[in-house]
Amino acid sequence: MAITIYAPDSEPRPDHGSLAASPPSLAGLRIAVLDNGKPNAVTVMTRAAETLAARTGATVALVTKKGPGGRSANAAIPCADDIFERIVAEADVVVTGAADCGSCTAYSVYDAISLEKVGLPAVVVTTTKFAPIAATMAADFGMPDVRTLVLPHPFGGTDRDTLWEWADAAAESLEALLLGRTPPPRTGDVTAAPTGVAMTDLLALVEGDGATFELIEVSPAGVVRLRLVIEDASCAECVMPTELLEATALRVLRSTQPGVSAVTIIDPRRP
Amino acid sequence: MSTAEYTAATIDLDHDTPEALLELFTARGWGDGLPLVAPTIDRVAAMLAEASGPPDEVIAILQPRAGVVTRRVVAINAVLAGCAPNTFPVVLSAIRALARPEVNLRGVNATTHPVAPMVIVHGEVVERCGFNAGTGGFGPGNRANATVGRAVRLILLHVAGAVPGSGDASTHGQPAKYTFCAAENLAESPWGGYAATRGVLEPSAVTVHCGEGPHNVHDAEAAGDPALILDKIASSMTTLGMNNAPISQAEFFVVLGPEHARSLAAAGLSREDVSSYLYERARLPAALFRRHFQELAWATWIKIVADDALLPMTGHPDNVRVVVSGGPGKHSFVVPSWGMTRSVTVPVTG
Repeated sequence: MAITIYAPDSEPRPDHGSLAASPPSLAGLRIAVLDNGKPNAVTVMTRAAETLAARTGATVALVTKKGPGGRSANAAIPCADDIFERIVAEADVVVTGAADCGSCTAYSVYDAISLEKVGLPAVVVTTTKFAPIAATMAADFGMPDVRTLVLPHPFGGTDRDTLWEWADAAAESLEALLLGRTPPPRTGDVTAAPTGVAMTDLLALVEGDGATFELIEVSPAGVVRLRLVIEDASCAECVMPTELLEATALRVLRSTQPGVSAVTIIDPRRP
Repeated sequence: MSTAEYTAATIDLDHDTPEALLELFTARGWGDGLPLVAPTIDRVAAMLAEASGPPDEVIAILQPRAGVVTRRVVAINAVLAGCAPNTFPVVLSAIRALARPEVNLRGVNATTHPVAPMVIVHGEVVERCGFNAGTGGFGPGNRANATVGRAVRLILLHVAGAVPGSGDASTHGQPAKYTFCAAENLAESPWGGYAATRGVLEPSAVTVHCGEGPHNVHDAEAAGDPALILDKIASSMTTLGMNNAPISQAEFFVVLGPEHARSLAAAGLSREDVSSYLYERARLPAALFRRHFQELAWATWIKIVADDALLPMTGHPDNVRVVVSGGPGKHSFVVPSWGMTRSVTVPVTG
């Protein structure tokens, strides 16, 4: 006999917000670096800010940890009120991070959104491995177009010269993000599958973890079926869980192909 | 519909069987893996009859998913968990407590740590609604304890989005994430009720504390020296792998079994004395902290202490919270904190 039941979930109502107005130029503007204390975060972010300043005529006005008085940093909570106020008073644009773990990605994104809401353009510095999680968090927190700078992974354990190289190479993208322009496209060939699905962005979600996708089919209704192939068995648990991978892949594909309606992934980690 | 309201969605289930319900829930990524009670219109109405406010009024938002909470949404999950309707206000109040900013639910849910909210029920609702404050209260066997804790977890899964692998990154998870609820044993407490120490004077209250599972402390009291009980508890509070080590705002919950509590009180100790003693005795050398942790969320005064000094595992004696629960036996336990969270005690209201 059929029955009617209630659904157990409820509607998400994130506090929606819009990005702050972007400046037309960074010349003469003050950059703040907001550091959550993650290993090497301040090294790479400060270098990126300094390179950007040299390139554009901005200045690095403030480099601070995000805890009270700037004396400490805890990546698992928002920026302290006094530091937030100091940034609003002493800076025009902000670089914050690092978003390279679970709760620190949540809170770096949260801090960036809080700054945008009071009129300061803020860039979240994340890594390839955590960029999709940063995107999910940004959507969950109501500002899906949070300015995000994606650098190679990991920061912790990487030598200073390499971190500086990464920071310098990202200066153009960082400038574009703060000016509200689309960052320059990633280099590399776009590989179109026979059905026209752009694979490059999809592959970027998993190739850093020793895995790849095979396209199985695209249905007439726009359902994309993929097979996840894990090439390096030791990296299986680094690849995102299936549900998150499907949700992120859908978002990635839809940004260039609005006709994609759903993504299903056949995942060897699941029976 | 105003933005201050939310109308819960309904689904038609082809067959009114536990199997069909579980299959639907599994396909949708819902549930905790165990069988559920179908949240029919009638069952949810019976649950809502125990609370007086508007059923579809938004009363909280739970992070990281920003899911809205209404009395009806809580009632749906309380039915799923198998709660008896008279415990509904306890579930509702526990959720209100978890939504408080000082709990930092966004962090509690997102972390790789195995943190689970512990729910302690206080006062007249314990006996009236059949919670177990004595032998075996933390499990298994008591319907109120088991289902209230489970309802809280179902709401975190369905509304807050704390699903393993997406909104909940806990490396291993842990059993307390299925259910973690028990009651204060007021009759056996030498020091009166816990809620009053947090300024909550209503007849019934609920406390939530986000931390690890229980660390048991067994002292057979052979020597008849109550200091030895406390020294063992202090020992259990001084491990380097708990988040309390680098985070001085983090609390400890010390659940004293009645026999240990009685012995401590017989030695003339108040609840505050127990907290102060543990604060003094649960210490590790500063050098050891500095060697093991790069970033320390310490109170400023702790940071300037010399390497050879012994530092407390928490920044203030008040952070050592003492509650009496359990039955006969020479056991107490410690629940360390996740760290960047604070416990909350609220009155039970509908």
